[in-house]
Amino acid sequence: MSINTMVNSSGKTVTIAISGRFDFGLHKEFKSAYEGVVTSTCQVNFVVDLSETDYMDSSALGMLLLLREHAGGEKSEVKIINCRPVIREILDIANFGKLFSIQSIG
Amino acid sequence: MLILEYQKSVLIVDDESVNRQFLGTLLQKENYNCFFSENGKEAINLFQQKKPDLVLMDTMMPVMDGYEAAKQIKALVCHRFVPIIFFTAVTDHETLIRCVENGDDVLEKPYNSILLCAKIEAMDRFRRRYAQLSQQKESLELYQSEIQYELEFSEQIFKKMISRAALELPYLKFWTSAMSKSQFSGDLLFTARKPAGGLHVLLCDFTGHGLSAAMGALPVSDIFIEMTHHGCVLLDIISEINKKINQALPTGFFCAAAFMDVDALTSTLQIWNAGLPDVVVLDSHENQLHRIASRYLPLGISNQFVADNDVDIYPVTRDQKLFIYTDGLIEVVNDDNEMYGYERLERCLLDFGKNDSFMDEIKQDVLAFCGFSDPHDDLTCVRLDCFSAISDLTSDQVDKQKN
Repeated sequence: MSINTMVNSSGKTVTIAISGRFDFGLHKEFKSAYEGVVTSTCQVNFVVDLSETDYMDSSALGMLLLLREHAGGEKSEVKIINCRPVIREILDIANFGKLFSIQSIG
Repeated sequence: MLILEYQKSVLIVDDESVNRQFLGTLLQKENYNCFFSENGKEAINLFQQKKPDLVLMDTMMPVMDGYEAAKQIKALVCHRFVPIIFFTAVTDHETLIRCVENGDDVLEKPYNSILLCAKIEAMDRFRRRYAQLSQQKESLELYQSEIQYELEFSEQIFKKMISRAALELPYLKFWTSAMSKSQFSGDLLFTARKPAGGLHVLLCDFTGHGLSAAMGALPVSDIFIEMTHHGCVLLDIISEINKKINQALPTGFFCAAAFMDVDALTSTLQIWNAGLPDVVVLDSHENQLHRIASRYLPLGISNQFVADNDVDIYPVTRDQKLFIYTDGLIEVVNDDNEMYGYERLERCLLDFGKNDSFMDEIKQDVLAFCGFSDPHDDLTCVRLDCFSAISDLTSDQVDKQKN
């Protein structure tokens, strides 16, 4: 269970990769992964890479909502990429496609 | 603000006045307030009066010796650490061991003032650390009891809500693990009779547990019951609940929910699924399952509940049973970390769904699957016999329908 954050060379895309279980145990770590990124001065694109994520619970969904808020809420575009079928299903049940751009692993 | 430095005090116990005087002068130089006793018995009395921070104790004294006095003093201070340093001219093993057994340290006579001051300083360090630890322990205990109080508080709220929320209806059966744990797990079932006949049913799964979940559930309970009693349509109730949760809870907290409107006037069943796993309608005559997937965001995420035009409406039939459940049911895991899953549930629904004893059967199936261990998450499963629900009319409602 860990979080890996990468910023691309232009500094405009921040990728947060989560491996293992994405649940309340990652609350602090996930928050600190995006909190340091200043979003007020320029548009930052956030990408959450779930290729190594096996499970997520409702508090993980809550964390994604907090990230979306940090990224600018309605105006933001947060991508959730490389979702395994079990993860995709959880996101679909919550209809998170209405809030995030979601891509399955492929 | 004037801050007075705390003045430490010492009790010096020796039957020889020369020794008392020597130690007194030395300790006063170290800024200690000094008290003196000539024997153990006197020392105990003075200790109780003055509550010193340190005791310097001779071993051999008339009336009561130092060992006995030390033992009694240690018994007097249970939650405080007051170091006792012995002085002895006899330095055989047995004496030294007796000193350390009854006190905290031992020094040989004649006095070596440098060593004495160093030992006093070291003991004072221990004393301060002990005091700090006790204080931390105390504040932790206080914190723990506060948390405990809050948990009990949320449990009380939860119990009150339950007593208002869940009607006892012969045609609505449910199994929930939410009651078995010591705190509110986040699953809640509400039912309310519609004034013109029929029923509103709401199954909620709140994020979080305990107080945070109970806070969110509180307004839901009131809105759902009151608006249903006032004859409001389900969509308005959903919108209102969504708005309230959105206003009341911080970002990241929400409520996955499914709403059912079983209407007696039109003999229809209407289903809104906002974040729960597929609601299932079983037609036991055809032995077929119809699924109503979640089409809406869980409640509280968006400030407005946006309904689409494509509402799931079914005519109520005699062979129809409705099943609603939270994700905890699907996610029950066995020892091999395998989930109970949809396939097992589906088979169970097709095999036993038509039986009125279904709750016993699914419970048996799930518990057998996970080896009768406690499900890790909260789970709730509801079975509703819609036909009985629309037939369950008060005499008032029957009269109204005739007119």
